[in-house]
Order: sequence, then structure tokens, then C-alpha cells
Amino acid sequence: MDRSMEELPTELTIDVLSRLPLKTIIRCKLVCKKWRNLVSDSSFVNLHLSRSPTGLLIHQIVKGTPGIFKWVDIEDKVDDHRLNYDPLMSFDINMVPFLRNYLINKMGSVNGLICIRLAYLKNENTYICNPVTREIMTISIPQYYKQDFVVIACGFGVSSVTGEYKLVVQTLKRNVPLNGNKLPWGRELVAEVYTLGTGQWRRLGRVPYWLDDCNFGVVLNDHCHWIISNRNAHEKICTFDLNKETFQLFPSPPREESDNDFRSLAVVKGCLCISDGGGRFPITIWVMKEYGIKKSWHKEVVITEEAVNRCRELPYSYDVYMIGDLKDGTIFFMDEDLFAFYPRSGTIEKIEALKRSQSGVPYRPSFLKLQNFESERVHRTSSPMMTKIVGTFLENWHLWFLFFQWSYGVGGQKVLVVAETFGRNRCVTRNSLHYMLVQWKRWHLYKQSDHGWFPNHLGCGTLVEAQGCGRILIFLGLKSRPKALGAV
Amino acid sequence: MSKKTLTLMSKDKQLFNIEEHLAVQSVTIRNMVKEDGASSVIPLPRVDSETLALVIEYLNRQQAPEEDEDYVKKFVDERGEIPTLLELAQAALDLDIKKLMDAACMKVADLIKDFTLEEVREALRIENDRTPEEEKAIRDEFQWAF
Repeated sequence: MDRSMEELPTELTIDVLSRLPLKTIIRCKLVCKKWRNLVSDSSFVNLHLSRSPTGLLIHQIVKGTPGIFKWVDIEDKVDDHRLNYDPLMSFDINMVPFLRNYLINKMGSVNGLICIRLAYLKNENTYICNPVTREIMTISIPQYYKQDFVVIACGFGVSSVTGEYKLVVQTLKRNVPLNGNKLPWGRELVAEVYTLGTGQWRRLGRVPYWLDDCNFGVVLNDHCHWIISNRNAHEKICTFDLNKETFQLFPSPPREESDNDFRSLAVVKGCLCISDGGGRFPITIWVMKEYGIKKSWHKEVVITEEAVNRCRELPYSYDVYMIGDLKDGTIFFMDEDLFAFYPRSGTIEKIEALKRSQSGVPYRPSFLKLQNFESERVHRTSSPMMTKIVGTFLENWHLWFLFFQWSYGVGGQKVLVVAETFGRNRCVTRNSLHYMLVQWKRWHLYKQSDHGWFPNHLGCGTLVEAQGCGRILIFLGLKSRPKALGAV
Repeated sequence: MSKKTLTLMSKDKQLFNIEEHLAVQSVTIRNMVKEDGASSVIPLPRVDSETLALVIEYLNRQQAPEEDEDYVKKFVDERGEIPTLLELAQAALDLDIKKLMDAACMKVADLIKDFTLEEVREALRIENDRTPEEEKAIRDEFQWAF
């Protein structure tokens, strides 16, 4: 039994790697050249994606910035679940220069890619982001938009037949005079589709349904699904076929005049589900047991007024936007924050660890590289560091810049980076720094090169604490050179 | 009708007998049987006798279908040594026994997930052949994960 992994078939190596946790896989790129290349290999990317467990991606608001994407691992068992939130699993959108001044309005996610729409009319681009590879792709504005249209609904999905990633938008012509008091259903509603990698939008013509704009269309069975707002339509759901590129009415649950309006769609127990609401109780969640069969709509869960009242943190709006469910029956929904509804006990709980969340989607992390899509504009962001000045440290001392970070698992050694600033009270600039990497008590001097994240505005003697990604940055004043640092 | 028996031969020329209906859990063997009836000995030139004995033990299991998952898990758990598991995974790959391969790979992944890089290299006997520049490039690319 004397054989190394390198003699083993690549297939086995890929298989083992694809079962490791995300961060461990990334660290494993450091094991050897072969492993490094394997992780970028498409067969690995696909196998990993097929095994990548579904978690949640939460968009959390940070005042004055576009916010942060955080992703949450879920230990999903039949009788119990646990949310594992690792501070490293986040992506500060503020680090993307061209998104810095915007707020995110909607997002959709498929195969680890997140599609983002902004809340501003002055930036009608759509962005696709992979938080794992730290890439952002900018997609130009749709053709119709240029002719005075506004985007009202979006969908983002992948065709299982061709493997093409498609973005579909419905746009509405602005400034069409109202026809009496009639609601503007008759206005020009048109759709366009964009296949990633082609660099251009294609027109699909008129769509007679007004797609609900509350979030991205829910993707299931190669179709995007939206609730529609047309009062007179006999079904309340419209689908977009990602293969044929056609829109169609889709069976919605049977309902009566007095019923609440449908509010949100999601995938629960692997089936399409729809919830109603709008301030009236009870809130009903219907599940379509057999896809496409109207008779199979089943009242799965009822959230009573009592359950809502018992949860004091739930805002008054009572509008439940479902995200998804777990094996133990828990249903996640957003209402200005992330909430979990436990059908067994009939209770609702706010997820405190992820407060100030604005929206959330089911998310499966993947290593899909946006750079592999031809003819697209892809930007890679630098480090997700956020810094905050917390005080002034000693003057008259040589300053050393300490950078601690903790990591676990493969390559989980503690790393300490030291940078020297020159002179006293001189502004720390990017050019005046050297970084030292202390690893296993051996010193390597790394000449500072491309650390765009380093805050230029920090002066000498500033005690700095950086948050984000579980790293702490401290400026320390030291009288001597790093010899003494062993004791730090 | 008596049950048909097949003979498998390991890398080191040891012979193992197994009933055909059990052996055909391996897609590779099933295909061989289909093609030529596999009258003679089936050679497995990449599987040594120790590993083949394990594979045979696995194929001979008499488990109810609902207990099978647990059995496979226990089977690999009991052989928690990485080299053994890798041999087993390799044999399962060659013989195309999906369940066994999945379980063995899962177990290896479980074992190495908390290792340091050095420990991973040691456990899998991999030579560290990357340069500091490459290491830096990777660390830069995935800065957030380190």
C-alpha cells in the first residue's frame, strides 16, 4: 500500500477535492501544481457544483454603502438544522469601484452566480457576480431601454439542455398616455434576452403579461416563474422557458374572489410554491406537488395571525417573501430582516446573526469563472478589507503594521504580516510599505506591490481595526525591528 | 440450478471466487460477463490482493436495501487509513462500483479536511512543487479564504 495520490487517477483526486468545504478547496490549491490546475478545471468545477450544498446568500445593508453579500452554510438534516455563518464567507460590494455609489435592488442566483439589479435609474446595467472568484461582469443595458423603456422584471437562469446562462428582462415603454382610468396593461410590455458570453441582447417582442417586479423570477425545471399582476388573467403565474425562450401562463392555485393576493414564489421541497399575504391573515403557502399540474396545488402551510403576533420583531408590513426551505420543514422568508418559520411549532423567529438583511436567495457556491465567458467585461475585485480607525497609538516609535489573520483547516497556520513605515508622522502610503510574512516563525520579506486596498488616508501612529473577513489589522509602535515581534 | 461463480485475479496473481450475481454490482465486471460470458479468470491488473479481498467482502454483503447506506458508511469507517481508502477508491473506480467509490472518497475528504497543507502532502505523499510566486498568486486570487 505504498502509493501517493499523484499516481491516482485525476478522477479520484477531483472526486475527493469536490467533497471538501469551499475554503479548504481554495487552500488545497496550494498543495501542488496539479491540484492548483485541477481546481480551475471545468470537470472539477462541474462536479463541485453538482455537490455544492444549497445555502443562503444574504444581502446585508451597511449604512452609506451598497452593503455586503454573506453566504451561510446550512447543516440541513431531516430533524434539525444549523446555520453556519463564517465571517470569511462574505463579499463587500463596496470594493467594486463602479458599484460603490449604488444600492442593490434585486438579486437572483443560479449555480453560484448572482445577478444584481440596482435601485437607480441612472445605472441600468445588470451585473453578474461570483463572490467566490470575486468577479463581477457588467452587462450593458437592453436595447429597448435605450428607447425610453424601463425594466420592470428580470429572470436569470441556466438551460440544462445547452448550458447557456440567460438573463431575461421585461421592459415597459414609458410615457404612454393612459387610456382613461384603465390600468396600463395595454401598454407596450416587451422582453429581451441576453445569453452570457454573446455580448448582446436579443429582442423577444411583446409579452401580454405584467410580470411582478418584487424580485427575480424563480427558476425551476428550466423555467423562470413570476407572479403576474393582470387582474383578468385566469392564471396568476407566467413562465419563461429558458430553452425555447417563450412566455406562457402557468397554472396557479385555485382561488376565490375574497382570497389574498399572491405575493411571492419560491422552491419548497423541490416544488414550486406560492404564498399570499398583503396584510391579511392567514398567510397561506401552496406547494405544487407535480410540476405543471394545476390539481396538484396543495395548501402546505398556514401562517396564522397568532404566529405573526407572537414574533415581536416582525415588522408591521406582514408581507412574507419566501426564500426557501429546509429538510426539517423550516421556511425562510424576508420581511426587512431574515426570518424562519417553523411549521411544527407554528412559530416565527428572527435570525439575529444576519440582521439588517435586505434580501436573500438560495445560493450554491461554485467556482464558475466569469472570465470564461467570451466577449464580456469582467472585473476582479481586490481584497475585501474594511478599515476603521479606532484610536491613535504611540508617537516617536518606529511603526510596524501588523496584520493577523486566523484561518482553519488546510493551511490553517497563523499568518502575521508586518509592514514598516518610514519616519515619524509621515503618511503611510502604498509605496512606503514592505510586508513581511511570518510563517512558522520563518521570515519572508514580501515587497509590497499590488495591495490596492491599503488605506491611503491613515497616518503614522494610527491604531486601526479592520473588520470584514475575520481579519484584524493593528498598527503597533515598536522600538526595535521585528526581532522583538516573536513575543508579540 | 447452482449459482455461477466467477474468479477474479489480483495484480499479484491471487485468485478470488465470487458468485456472479454479486460480482455484477461492478459495472465493469457486468460488461465483461455480458460480452464473453467470462468463463475464465477475470484479471484486475491494478488491484492488489489486500484491496481485492476488501472489495469482495463488500460485494458479498447481505444487507437489506434500506440498511445498505449505513453498511457502506460503516464499511469504509472501519478502514479509516487513508492509503487503504485510496486503494479501495481506486479499485472501486476501476471496477465501477459507484457506492463504494463515493463512500471511500467521502471518507478521505472527511479525514483531510482539517489537515494543514503539510499534513495533506504527507498523508497523500505529494511533493510540494509550487514556487513562492505561484503561492502568492493563489493567495492574492483568493485572498478572502486565507
